[in-house]
Amino acid sequence: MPRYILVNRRAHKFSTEAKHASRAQVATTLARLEGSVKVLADKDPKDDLARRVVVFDADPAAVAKIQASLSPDAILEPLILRSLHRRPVLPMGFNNVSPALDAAANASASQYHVTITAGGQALSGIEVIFYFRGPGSSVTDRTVHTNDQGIASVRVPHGATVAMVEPIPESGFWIMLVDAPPSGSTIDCLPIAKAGAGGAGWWHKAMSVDVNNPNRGNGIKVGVIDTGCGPHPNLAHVNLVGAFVDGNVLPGSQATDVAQHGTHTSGIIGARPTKSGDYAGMAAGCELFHARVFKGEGPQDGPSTADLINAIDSLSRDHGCDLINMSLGGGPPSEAEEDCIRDAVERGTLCVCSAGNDDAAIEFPAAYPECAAVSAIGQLGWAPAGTFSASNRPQESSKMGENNLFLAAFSCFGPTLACAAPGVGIVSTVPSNGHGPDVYMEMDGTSMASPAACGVLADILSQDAHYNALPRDATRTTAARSLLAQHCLPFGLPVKFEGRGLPEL
Amino acid sequence: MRYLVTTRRKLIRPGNEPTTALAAVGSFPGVRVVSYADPNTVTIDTDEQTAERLRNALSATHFVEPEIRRGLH
Repeated sequence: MPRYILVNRRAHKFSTEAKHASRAQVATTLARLEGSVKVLADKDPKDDLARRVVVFDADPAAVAKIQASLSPDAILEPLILRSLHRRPVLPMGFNNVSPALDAAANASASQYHVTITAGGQALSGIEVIFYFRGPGSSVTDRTVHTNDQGIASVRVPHGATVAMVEPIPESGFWIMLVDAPPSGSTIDCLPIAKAGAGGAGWWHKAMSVDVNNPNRGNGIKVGVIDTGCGPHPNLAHVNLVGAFVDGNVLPGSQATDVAQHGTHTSGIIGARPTKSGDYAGMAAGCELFHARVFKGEGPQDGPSTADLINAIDSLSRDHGCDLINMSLGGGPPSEAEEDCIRDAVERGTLCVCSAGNDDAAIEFPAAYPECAAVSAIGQLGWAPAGTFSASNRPQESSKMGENNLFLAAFSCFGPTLACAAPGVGIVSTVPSNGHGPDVYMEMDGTSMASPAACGVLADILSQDAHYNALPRDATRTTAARSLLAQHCLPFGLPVKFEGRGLPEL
Repeated sequence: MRYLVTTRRKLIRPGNEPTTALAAVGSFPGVRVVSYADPNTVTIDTDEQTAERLRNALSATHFVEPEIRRGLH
């Protein structure tokens, strides 16, 4: 059955009475749907002025009947799942698509469809990105969702061909990237392997993290600034400090994830497995804080420097974080932002930041000298052929290092990199809202590399008596930075690609 | 245009209370305060000329710069 979302309208509801009346329409609508829905999630805040959000599976006919007479105070629509694999550039393998394959894809005229399955079962409601090559090699893309039978249909623009198709499963399966499959074909998403004993993935092994030690990171306070965190049972211990949006500060209850990215990065640092097969965080024993700064996943939803400043101030000043991870960036430098980061440094806080995904120079804030910038690496053999992750292997031999490690094709780089860390095919937590009790996705990006480095650094700091005896001032930050450098092992790439190397315990 | 006005953090220390960014911009004509959670970090709307005047007047104690937005990696 298709999945829907039901919420009460809040915009322009200024009085208490109007908010109450709007909220009541959710219950009224649900009651009218009784018997034809399966509720998957019901965010029913105790604050009766807050928005209620219900996610459910339902018979489309029943929903259509209700929608015909729906109160204007209620919003009922198909649930749309977005992807946070936002790439300013096309998939790295895009330019390798052969003209012959293009021709095959376009042979069936302008209507084109593929069926998406996982383990032989149709995947309904998932996002599928179609990449088109037009006249003069111009490139466009379009995202659609699969129907109940797992079919994604798209009209090919006039004069264009389908060059690649990228289905994005909600959880448990790899994101695939297929070169020009013929219309009518089936793409089967491969299952993601469960974590090894104790919750290990290749990134734990590459960084020598002992996942059987639950105390790793103990005593270290780590802040994350991202899209929000949870809900996820393995992140129930995370302290949600607030949402810093449009210059305002909202309470911690507003810091749950508005996308998936922040739950993923938080899980890389501090997820605590609750059952066999769960992936563990690098520093599961650390004290983890999360500040939401994104409004959503849209291109206009990013934080302003004011929001970042407020979040950094809160984590550093109010919560005494030793480390702050920022898997975000872009845009010009900001004196005010750098001033704030410098101030955090003087309070003993080191900011660990992702370098960026544009295969170009390191972006801000990672490019500030006060921050530790992290590039992304992958390991040959982890991502199966045909997956999006596999396409992030570089073409250049100069980016292939020792121990089967490589600089991800998308990773930004430069001489001021602090280190490199795993950022290809990283499996971590995503919000479980409506998608089962515990959900995992694999993601690629320096967004994943930065928390991997940050988590391992928390482990390193936790074990260092000298560091822990230092006052909360710049000497503490300098020591953290120094320990990070000391624990890095080069793996054969130029400094501009790997910095000091891969941090290892 | 939207600008961010912040107090230089090195000036904010126990026993030293500099003029907040909010107070500093409050007396400037042509400035509209958009939001602030902390009076030392204030988002304003103003025109380029006024922003330049603010920058010149406050450079020793405050930063005045166009608002920048960051994205996910």
